[in-house]
Amino acid sequence: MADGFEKALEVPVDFVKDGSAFVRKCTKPSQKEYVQIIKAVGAGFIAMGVIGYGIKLVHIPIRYLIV
Amino acid sequence: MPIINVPHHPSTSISSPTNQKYHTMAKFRLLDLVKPFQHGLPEIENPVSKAHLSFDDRMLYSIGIAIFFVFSQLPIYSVTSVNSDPFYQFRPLFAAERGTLDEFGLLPIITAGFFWQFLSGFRLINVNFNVKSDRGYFQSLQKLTAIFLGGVYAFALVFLTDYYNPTSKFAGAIDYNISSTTADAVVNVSSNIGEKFLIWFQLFVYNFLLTMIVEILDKDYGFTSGSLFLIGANVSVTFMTGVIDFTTIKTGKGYEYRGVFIQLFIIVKNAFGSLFSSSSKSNFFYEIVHLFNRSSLVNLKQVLFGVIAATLLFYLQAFHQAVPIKSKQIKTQAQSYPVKLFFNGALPIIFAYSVLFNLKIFSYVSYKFLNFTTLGSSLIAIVIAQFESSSSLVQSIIKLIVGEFSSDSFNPTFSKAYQTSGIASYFQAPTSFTGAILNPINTVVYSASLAGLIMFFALSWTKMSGSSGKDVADFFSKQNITILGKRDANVAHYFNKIINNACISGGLILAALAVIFDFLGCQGLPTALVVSILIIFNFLESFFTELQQSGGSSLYNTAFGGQDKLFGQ
Repeated sequence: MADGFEKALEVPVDFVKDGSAFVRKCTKPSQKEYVQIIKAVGAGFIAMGVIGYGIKLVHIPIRYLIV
Repeated sequence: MPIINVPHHPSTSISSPTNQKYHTMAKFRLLDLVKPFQHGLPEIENPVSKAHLSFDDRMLYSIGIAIFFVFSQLPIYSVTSVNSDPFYQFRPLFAAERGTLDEFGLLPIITAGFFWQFLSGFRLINVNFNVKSDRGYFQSLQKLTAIFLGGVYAFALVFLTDYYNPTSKFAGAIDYNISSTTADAVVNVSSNIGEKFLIWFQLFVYNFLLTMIVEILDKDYGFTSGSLFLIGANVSVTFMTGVIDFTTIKTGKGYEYRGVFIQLFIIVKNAFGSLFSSSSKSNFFYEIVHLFNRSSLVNLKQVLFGVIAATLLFYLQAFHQAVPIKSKQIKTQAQSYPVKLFFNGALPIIFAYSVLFNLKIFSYVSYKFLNFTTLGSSLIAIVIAQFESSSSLVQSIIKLIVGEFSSDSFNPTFSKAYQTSGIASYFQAPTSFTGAILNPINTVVYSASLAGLIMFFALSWTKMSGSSGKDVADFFSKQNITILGKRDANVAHYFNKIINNACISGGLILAALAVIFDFLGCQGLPTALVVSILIIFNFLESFFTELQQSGGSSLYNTAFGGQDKLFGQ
């Protein structure tokens, strides 16, 4: 029983080992780059969401008209 | 400017497989089944050439289609109300809006694409992707399956369950003439079928149109895979709407603002107001806890974890290992080929959830069909009659397989249906944090299967889509490119190892995020946000690559000048 359990755990443990080795070797963004990414993509995400929300807001009365 | 043409992660698009091996086929192929449909099936024509379609045009197509998609979430004509919602967990991720034409959202398209990709990737069907006609057939097969699946899901939900409550518009008109009760009953039944057919027809036609629209973006008019782009756009709209919507709606608690931040602002304002007046006491903590946990609208918990996930993802998605590469023919400086941490993008999560979504549809429809329709219950009666000696055993087996749903019924507009028993209920996300702790077996089984599915797709997608280490190495050897300081023979081995490790670590992170969010009872929104951010980054990557290649002739060059370094290689 204990053997089977250990074997079942072997695969995830190997995954974690390989995965963390890969992450350790990765090039990571510097703080400056990180802030830039957050600014650029965050602004884009929020802008897209707000525009979509505006469309939905316009959309609600139209829904009542046509359905 | 890149001189060596490096493939830009072909793995992150669903519908265009790249390097598949040639297979000679001797016998009948499944692909031949599409041939008769090929001429009847409408098809989006490829743009004459990429040069004809300017960068700005493609941007316009993408934005226009995203806007169209938001507009298209219309309520279904002749439906008065819908029953409690069994698919709440999957709605943000698949852009499936309850009670609208988008009832299943992008699920049919994603399921169809992924199903055939899976079969061809594991060589269960023969497709020769080097031949143009085969590629065409394969695309038609995916399209046909998507349209068919949309019809099947809609049929199951409309005719086999009582999910929709149709109005009786037709019956009202006939009532004048027929007064006897028996005739009334006949009219009711027939009109009911007519109305149900009307609902089914709307769902079917909309899904057909959506399939075609997604194909527009898939075929070079957009920047990334169409279905993924629409998911990304829709999640950002859903999330922002949940945060800033200032319209109110009546829930179980009274009138509430839909937007979490607006509601929070009102609570804080009321608390301040009650500080200075002795008459009205506002229950500040109760209000905050309710906002944190409310299940009818987007709650504070989802937004909070969404923001945490987003900040984490912004950091993690930039992780990559740069492999130094060099052309063997032209003397150039060494360049780097980045192997990203999220090598498969968001696809593993999307595929894992599409499996669970399909399972949910199946169990919901079979439960409703067997318990609440005359046809279904008589079928059960026949089966039980067959095993007269052990009918109670058979009954309990059927119950175990089919399971049971129950709904929270405090408010029909927001009520949700939860599966309470049966095998499939173990593959249902915990409904809340306390629910997760109280049902440890359910939680463990669900988490393990979700993580297992995500890991499986993370590891196998590269092989299925033709972007595994071997395929990348083949591509490089064709282009006469080699890794700096490695012999040609070792290139494939090297890429295999590095890409496999990238898939493992990326898959582990995605699986951990998805499991944690479901464990906390976030009901899918933060996970959808994770997916959408990965999609947006993938979009921006190809956007800026194209922007560079368009050579400054675009409107957007001035707007985004200098930012391409963030996303380019």
